Amino acid sequence: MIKANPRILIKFEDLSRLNKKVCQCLKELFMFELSEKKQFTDEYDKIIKKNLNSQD
Amino acid sequence: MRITKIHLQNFRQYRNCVYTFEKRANDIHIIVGENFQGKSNLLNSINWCLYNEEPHLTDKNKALAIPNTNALIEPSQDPVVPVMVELDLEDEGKKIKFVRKAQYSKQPDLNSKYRELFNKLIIQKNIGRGNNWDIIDDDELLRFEIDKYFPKNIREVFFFDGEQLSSYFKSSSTQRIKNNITLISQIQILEIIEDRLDKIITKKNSEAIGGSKDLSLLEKEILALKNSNSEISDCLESLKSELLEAKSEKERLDEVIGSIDDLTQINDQRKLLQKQIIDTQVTILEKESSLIQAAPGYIMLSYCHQDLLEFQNLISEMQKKKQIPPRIDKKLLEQSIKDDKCVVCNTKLTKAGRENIENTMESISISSEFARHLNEQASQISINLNNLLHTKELITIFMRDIHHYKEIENRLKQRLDDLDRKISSIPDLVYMTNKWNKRKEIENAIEMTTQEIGAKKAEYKRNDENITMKQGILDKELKKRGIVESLKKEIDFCRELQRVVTEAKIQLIDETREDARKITKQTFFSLHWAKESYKDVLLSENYELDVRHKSGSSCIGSLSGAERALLALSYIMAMHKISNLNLPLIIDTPIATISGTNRENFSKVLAEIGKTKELILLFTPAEYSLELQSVFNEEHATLRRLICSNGESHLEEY
Repeated sequence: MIKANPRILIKFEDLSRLNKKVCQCLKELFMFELSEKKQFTDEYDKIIKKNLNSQD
Repeated sequence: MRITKIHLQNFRQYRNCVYTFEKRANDIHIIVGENFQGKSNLLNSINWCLYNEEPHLTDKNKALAIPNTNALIEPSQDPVVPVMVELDLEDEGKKIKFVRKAQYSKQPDLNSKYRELFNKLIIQKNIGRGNNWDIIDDDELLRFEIDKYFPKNIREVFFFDGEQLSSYFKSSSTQRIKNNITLISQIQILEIIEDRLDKIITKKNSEAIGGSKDLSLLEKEILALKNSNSEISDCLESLKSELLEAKSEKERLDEVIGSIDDLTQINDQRKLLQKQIIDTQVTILEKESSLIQAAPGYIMLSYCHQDLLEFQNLISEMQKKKQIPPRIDKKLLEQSIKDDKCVVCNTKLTKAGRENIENTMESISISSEFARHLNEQASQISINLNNLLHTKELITIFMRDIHHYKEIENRLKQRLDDLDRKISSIPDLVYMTNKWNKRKEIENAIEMTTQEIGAKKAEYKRNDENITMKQGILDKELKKRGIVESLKKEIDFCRELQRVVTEAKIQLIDETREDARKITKQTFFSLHWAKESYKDVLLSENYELDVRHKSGSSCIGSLSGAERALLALSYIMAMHKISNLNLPLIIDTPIATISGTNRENFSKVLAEIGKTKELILLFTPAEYSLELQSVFNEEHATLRRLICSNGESHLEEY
């Protein structure tokens, strides 16, 4: 089955080295895109807010 | 992931047939069957099951309905024929079944077609909980599951007709490679995230602006510029595709045209030469006409030339000897008598003077007239002799010009003959001329598209600069107005997310293309039977694949059919590795376009690939020769013969 291209996940880590929240959020957005294709606005908002407000 | 079973019921030649693919020491499965026994329809059955499509139809198949012909005409109580294809998979301990069922009316309609009454795919999943199977039948979820296991947009790198292998890099290959790489490496998902983050940022900006009309206007302007750039991006993509397509088409035409000279240029030269010849001939005619006009006068004067000269000399002699009387003006004498005074000295005439004038008038009446005539003739002769000289000069010039233009005409005719000889040696001139004309059109299209791309890029850059400027103003204003801190943080966070995604996308495109090149090269060199002839495999920024000969020159155009097929297979293996999908490879007639000893070489390549993944190969008996049998003898996990008798296909041990 389709798995996230590990190279992309590594790239997220490389490019957001100083901001773990950004890295984690992008991974979650990416996994969302790989999974069910439901209405994106709410889900994006949810993922963004959750990661922004998470503790490092 | 492996395919473990394909069960077909009433699907074309297959009345009820089960293919099983048990893995042994290796995973190569060979099916041998004559044409029209059902080999290609096995590929069709997989496509039909997953996507409800049959891309591998021959014309003969197209004419027939999907249900098995025997099942349609067989007398039975049931008014419908059920059709089913079941595809069983095994993926890291999980079992998945894709089952498509359809029903067709046994009664043909007015157009003699058998109507499809029902068609539905379901997926059954067993994730290791005994005999409990989850059933998925929601259309949205089904699409999602198919995309997870067999993404439709990249199916061509998993199951395909072997005949396409040797022509894989001939038509539209650059666009195909680009699409494959961006889809398989999931870079297109980054583009989706980038776009969606942009929409989220716009939405949050609108929230931050609230009711401010000025800022709302500014935001609308930014949005309009972004939309414009989004359209420009789409347009650029499509223009770049067109450009790549046009370049590929030009390459294909170059292959057909080979070393034949530019026929459009030759035709233009011919037309120009023909016009020049006509112009020269017109000039010659004009010169000849002038010559003809001048010639009679010249001829006549030439005849009299000697006499005229003698006559002129005679008069001249007489003048020298004063044999021609002086010319006395008779009118002056008459006037003097009339006025009774000398018109020269104005003195009154004496009687003797009057008589003297009257005598003189009488004596000169004859001799003066004669002298006048002689003088007139001498003058006319002089004019005629001058004319003769002038006409002679003109005739000489005309003759010289005519000679000169005739030489030009001959040279032009010679050049036209040379061109005619050149094109008469070209076989199928009309066909080649059309190809050259087409090439010219494509060249013009390439130039225009390149210019258009340049203009669009410049427009994009201008818009981008405008967006940055306006965004700066908006940010400043929002800061001044003290927008809700949490909203500001979200917008900044989204912008950071977007920055990382954009950067990741740019870097990954280059890295993935390089990966594709390296793996293609590695596979090509590790499997090639004469690798020492080659030096490198290249994949340019424009996704043009090329092979370099050991001498360093490009040689993709001169690869043999088997080598081209190997290059395509190497590229396909690269796509498999990049995709991170462990999918089987199913190839119908894999060596169809390969001849001679290369068939054995290529089969060894397939045997090597079969050691790393499930490989299902469909051969004709002619293809599956003794040489191939010796290659696969120790390598195959299953070997079966496919036979169709009485309209129904079944499998037998080989």
